[in-house]
Amino acid sequence: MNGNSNIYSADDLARYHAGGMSQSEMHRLEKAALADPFLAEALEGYAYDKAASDNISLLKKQLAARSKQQPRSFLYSPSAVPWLRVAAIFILFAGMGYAFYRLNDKENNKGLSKNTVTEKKGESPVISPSEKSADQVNPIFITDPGSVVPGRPVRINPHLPAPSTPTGQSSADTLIRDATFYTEAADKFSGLKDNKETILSGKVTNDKGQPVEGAVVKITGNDAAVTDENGRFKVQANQQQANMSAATGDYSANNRLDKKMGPSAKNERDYREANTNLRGAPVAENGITLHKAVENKSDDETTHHQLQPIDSVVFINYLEKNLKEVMMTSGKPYEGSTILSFNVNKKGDPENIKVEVPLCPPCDAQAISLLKKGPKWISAGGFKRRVAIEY
Amino acid sequence: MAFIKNIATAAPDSELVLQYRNTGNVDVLGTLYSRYMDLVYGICMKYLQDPEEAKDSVMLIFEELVTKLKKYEVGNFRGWLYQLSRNHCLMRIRSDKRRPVNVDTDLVYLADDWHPDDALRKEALLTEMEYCLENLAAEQQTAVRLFYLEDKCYKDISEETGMEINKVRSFIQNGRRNLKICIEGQVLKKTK
Repeated sequence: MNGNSNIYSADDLARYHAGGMSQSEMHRLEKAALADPFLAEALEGYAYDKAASDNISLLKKQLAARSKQQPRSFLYSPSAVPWLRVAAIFILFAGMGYAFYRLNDKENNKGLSKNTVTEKKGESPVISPSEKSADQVNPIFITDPGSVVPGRPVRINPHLPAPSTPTGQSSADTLIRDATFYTEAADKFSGLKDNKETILSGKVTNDKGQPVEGAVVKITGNDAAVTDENGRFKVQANQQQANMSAATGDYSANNRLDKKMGPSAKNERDYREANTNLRGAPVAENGITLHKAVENKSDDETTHHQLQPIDSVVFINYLEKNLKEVMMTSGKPYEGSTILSFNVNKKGDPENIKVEVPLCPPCDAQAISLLKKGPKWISAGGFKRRVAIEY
Repeated sequence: MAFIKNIATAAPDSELVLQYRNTGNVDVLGTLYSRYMDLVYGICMKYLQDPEEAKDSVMLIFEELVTKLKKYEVGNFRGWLYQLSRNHCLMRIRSDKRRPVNVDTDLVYLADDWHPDDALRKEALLTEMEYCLENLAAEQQTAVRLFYLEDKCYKDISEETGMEINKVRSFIQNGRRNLKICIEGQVLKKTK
């Protein structure tokens, strides 16, 4: 024991637990420990180390060596706070990742017209579905006629300015702001083994029979095309049975095509022409008549195969009316996006909603609530949809 | 240098703290720390229960001292070091989610400056002491009597009463806290 009765050495504390102390020594130590929490807890600790003296000797050597060194930075000390360095590296990489994401995002938004639309002179642009996301979601994002980006998630921005109306067209027919379609799983195919590649061409008209420019025509698992000024499109179809859909901002239609059997949908008016033109024809003429979405809603017979009254414009309008700003404690509103993914059931309601990218808990909660209460969606054939709700 | 060392080894804690704050000499701090390193190691062993982790923590706590002692005014170095060591270990336990946190609340020590010896030495308080002892819970009373009045160690009390050693310590700890409250109350009554 040291001369100072308040200071017990490691040897004393170890001896206490090893039973090497007399009764009076133990009592003195216990009494001192009761008055000194530091000593009391240390005494408890020595119960767990039978080789304490050796470890203390080693520590004394380490301390002596360390004491001879100059003070060093907390961050760069090799033995000190490795987690802090790991955190610093993580923050650096996260920052770089975020910056890259933002830059990339801006680049994509700016350069939509530079995208993978291949356009031939005198022909409708044909879009190759080369970029499919891992979860098979294959949306198309359009901000202006003629610019299509396959493979990008839906991005709905209620604050986007209304696009300019192309000259010579009525706004109701040509407004294409966001039109989004997903490939659907083709069900069962039959026949036509030697007719693997078929070019489908056709015309998209509105319910008045007028051609619709800039409508997106999409065939399941195949190419997509945007109609030209005469409403004409040409698209490659490799499958024998497929869903075909076309839409502008206000008009939409979705036909099921079967090259051998004809369309399987019940809406005869829509499929009559397709049925006729597809049979045995390597290059088929396909006429798609677009119906106003609102009209389709009331028609139970057609709703399964027609696009539901939800295209992006409908959803944007809905968000504009219902989305509220969420304020931070500083009084500033949150800015950014909550990205949600979901499945669409047969009724067109979103289900299995998941927050892919959160913004803030109240923001995410509002986004989910609005999505649940919002307008119906087009079925994505069991695949997931994504939507970004921007604050 | 030799001069500094001579002062450092003999000087009280407060002087070494001041010297380190003025000079930034880690050697001075090493001398100060070596006085309590045994206790710090014990604290680390109590919470971490692993010699390698405890040794690592002892050196990390020294690194904390190197920076913190320059930032903070420290009056009682020993008490401050105790809290720093304890907090370090608790933080380490919290950061390691694999480790179950198991701190026995019965054995959490309170840093009070009162000691029964002080009271026992004072004749005037003996009557109150006896009265308060009688009013303690039976197990606390037994443990306190055997420990303070018969000078028996935990081990002997445990053998004599059949209580576990940890329980003995807990009864003494709680018993003396209750004694303090009771005696203070009695003294207050009489002064009124």
